[in-house]
Amino acid sequence: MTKLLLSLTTLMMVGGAMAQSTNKFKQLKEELATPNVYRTASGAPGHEYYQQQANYVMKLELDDEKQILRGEETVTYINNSPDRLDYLWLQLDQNMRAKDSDSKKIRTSDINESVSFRELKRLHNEFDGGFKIEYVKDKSNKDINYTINKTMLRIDLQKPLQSGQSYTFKVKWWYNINNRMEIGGRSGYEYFEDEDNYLYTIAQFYPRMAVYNEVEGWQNKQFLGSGEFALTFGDYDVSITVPSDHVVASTGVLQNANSVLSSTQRNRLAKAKSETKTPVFIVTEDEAREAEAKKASGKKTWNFKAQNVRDFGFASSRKFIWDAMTVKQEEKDVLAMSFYPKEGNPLWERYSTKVVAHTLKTYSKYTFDYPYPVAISVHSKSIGMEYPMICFNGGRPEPDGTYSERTKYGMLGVIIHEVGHNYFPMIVNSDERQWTWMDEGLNTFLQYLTEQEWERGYPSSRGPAYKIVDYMGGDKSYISPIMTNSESILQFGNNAYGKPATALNILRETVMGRELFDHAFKTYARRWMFKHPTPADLFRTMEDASGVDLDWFWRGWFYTTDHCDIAIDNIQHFKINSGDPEVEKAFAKDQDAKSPGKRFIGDQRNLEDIKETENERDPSIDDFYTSYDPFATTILDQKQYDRFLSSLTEDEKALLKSDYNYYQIDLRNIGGLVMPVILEFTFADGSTEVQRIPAQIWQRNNEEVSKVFFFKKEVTGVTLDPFVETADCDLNNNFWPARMVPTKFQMFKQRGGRYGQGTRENPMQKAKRIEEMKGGSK
Amino acid sequence: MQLLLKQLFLVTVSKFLGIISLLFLMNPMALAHEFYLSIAKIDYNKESHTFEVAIKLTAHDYEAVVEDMGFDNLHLGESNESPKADAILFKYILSELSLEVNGKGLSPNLIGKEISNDDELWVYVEFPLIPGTQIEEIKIRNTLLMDQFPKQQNHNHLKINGTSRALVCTKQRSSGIIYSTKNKDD
Repeated sequence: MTKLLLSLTTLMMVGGAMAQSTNKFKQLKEELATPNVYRTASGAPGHEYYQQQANYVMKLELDDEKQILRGEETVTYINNSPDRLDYLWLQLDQNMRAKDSDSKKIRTSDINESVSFRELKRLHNEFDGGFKIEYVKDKSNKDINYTINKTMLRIDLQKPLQSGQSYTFKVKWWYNINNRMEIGGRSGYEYFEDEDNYLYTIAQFYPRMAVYNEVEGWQNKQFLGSGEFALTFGDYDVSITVPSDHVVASTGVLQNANSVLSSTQRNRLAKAKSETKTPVFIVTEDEAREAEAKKASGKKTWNFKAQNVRDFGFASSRKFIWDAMTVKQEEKDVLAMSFYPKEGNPLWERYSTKVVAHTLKTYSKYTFDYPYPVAISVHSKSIGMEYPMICFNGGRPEPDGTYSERTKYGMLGVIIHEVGHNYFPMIVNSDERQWTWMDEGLNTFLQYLTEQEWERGYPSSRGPAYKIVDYMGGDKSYISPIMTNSESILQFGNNAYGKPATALNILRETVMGRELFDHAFKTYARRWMFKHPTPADLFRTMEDASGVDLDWFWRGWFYTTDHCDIAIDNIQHFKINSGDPEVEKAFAKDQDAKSPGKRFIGDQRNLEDIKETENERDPSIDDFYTSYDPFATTILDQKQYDRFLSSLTEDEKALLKSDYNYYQIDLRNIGGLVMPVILEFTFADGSTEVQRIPAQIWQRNNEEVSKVFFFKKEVTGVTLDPFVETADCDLNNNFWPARMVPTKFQMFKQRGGRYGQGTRENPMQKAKRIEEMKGGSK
Repeated sequence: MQLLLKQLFLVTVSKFLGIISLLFLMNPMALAHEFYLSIAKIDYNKESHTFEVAIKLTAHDYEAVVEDMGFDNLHLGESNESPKADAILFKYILSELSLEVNGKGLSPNLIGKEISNDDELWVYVEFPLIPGTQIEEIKIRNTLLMDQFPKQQNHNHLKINGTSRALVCTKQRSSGIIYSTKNKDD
């Protein structure tokens, strides 16, 4: 093999060296639970996978005078586990609002010289929240021993519940409903003072079975506020008694339309079942306005049934406008519905039900067909909260009916998000108390896809890689890994929503590609539909179904706080030394002439200042070296070149003449996170070429790697991560020649932004004013 | 400008008043909005001898603060934005964010603000250096949104003369030295 000589033409930038520690491609054998008969190594439910079931029959009464909810429930708990159970655990989430709750005790606070009325009002709140349990009885009405430990209730069974057996018991309870607008809460009421009406959004309202499985035993971690819920699937039969002029929206399907809806309303509902484009009003705004203006004295009982749900929620008010339309699916059609007070219009009548329908279509594409018969969006100011088939969403226009773009997109986003939660965690039923990211992260990822399909350029706040860099590049002592228990997470929103959503997006766009990712993600959703997955089940399925080893990705993104910052450290340009003395000596001469020493100022001045040197005056002192030209070609050079040429094969000769440009690029991993390397080369003729290199380039050295690229054309610029897809936190070291990215501050100033610019109109309102001016000039 | 319009003023009775607040009882919601994080990007421009600061806040958190100050909705970024909105915002920024060089506070210029449709409020402020100062130590105090949100973290990212420094301000530690030439050799 003949060795080719490369001549170094330019040397750019110099970098340092780093030491290597533990390999970032180490497999996750130590982190993931050992596969077993319940959960396989491929990430699927095992052949002995089981889950418990809890069926509820409930009679509820909503007291609109005192804002109290009273209920009697009969729970049938089916022990499908192979284990004998000596006691059962129920969740008492309302107790978070009890006067002596831990949530209140552990919350820190302080006070300053000035304080607002609202703040003080909250401070003085003496709300008597929490469940008042009247009894716990068995099915033959005998009292059962029970123990309440804050937000958990233990029933001590007289006889252990054997595997395969079921146990039925009854609980009677009531609680004061919280004013959501004053003391907050996922559920509660909003009071409309001017008209003395209430809008109730009710959830976590009944003692609910905790999950028992082979992962946690009983999942009876206390409810403190952040870590949401872990719930067992079951069937529900719920009767809700409310004032007769209330309209009720609920998990499940209405069973007694004949006794609670007018024939007009029933006809409209029937029409909605064949309408797929424009929502049909079941209760119009005019009808709702009429209802809220006067109060009926009677009561009505609404009966709903729901199958295979993990929870139950409902909303009730005489203020509700109600619209509905149908979403066609391959097997089962779904009724998409919205319930909202007039205060939500015009936004709600225009968008809510259409957004529900769009969400179902998009999420189903990436997972499975929506299995429930209804999907409901209820307008409740300021929050967003999800339950099976029903969710409570904010997004309220100004009283004058105008709204900003921010309000509009905030509303669309929250509806997509909360309706999307039907898939994760309502159906793919992960343990929220343990892992917030398993539903919030996956849901936020699908929310992003759904937003982008709603409208080109939709201003999604989470999903794109570049949106997470401020968080990931921040101070590590204030960041926790994604794999952190829900209550211990620092920076909840970024940790459990933003970062996992971004991670999935990067897997889809950059690491796996859309086709492999979509198949694997769908496989996960379908495998764990109506089951209880763990993080390992997701990690394993994504690899097993795609054939891509992602242990490095899970390790970096989910188990560490490393961030991506890859730098172009050094670029060297080489050309093949042709060996031809005519060419190479001329090249060497040219390089020599360009060397810095040749430009020395003293030499330049001496050319003029020294009129004549000694040897110019006296040529007798010249010798061979005076006129020797080291760059002149000689016959010896030529002979050597001929010998070299004759030693080459035809292929080698062709390569020698090919005139390629070779570039060695040295890359440094500053952030620690190993990521693919995407390079865009710009050539002298203005054309570009992108090269995508998998993250495995870092496999043997996690800190520094070099790679050679060759092109016919000369490279004039290199950009690392040109499509901002790797969440690289510092773009200033991503360019050759080096380029500084303008700061946000500089961009604002360049745009001419300044203080006190005055009010800005959103385009909607500007148009309105133009119309008014036109009207005025007539 | 009456900033403390509807506010009550409290007199400190005892420093040892034990109070348990219900303020954050509401807490998280599954709503995709619980950030409690602001970022101040501080770049020292050595040509103009100015610290150029871009602050990112969660817009609706700031709006809650304004409401707590006793103002009605200022309609930030909307057509009917209150004429007082900028003045209130900057007065708030000035009282909650300060920059000291060599122990001396810098007085800021207010550049502007903008609000994005994804709920980001960006505020732009610059702090000119007192002419002739040799920067030895930079101290930052950043208590934005902390009174209302005890979990608030304010991340300050400083870039100066090719180096980067970071400082996180929290309720427990609301100020600190982000840059110092004194311990350069450590």
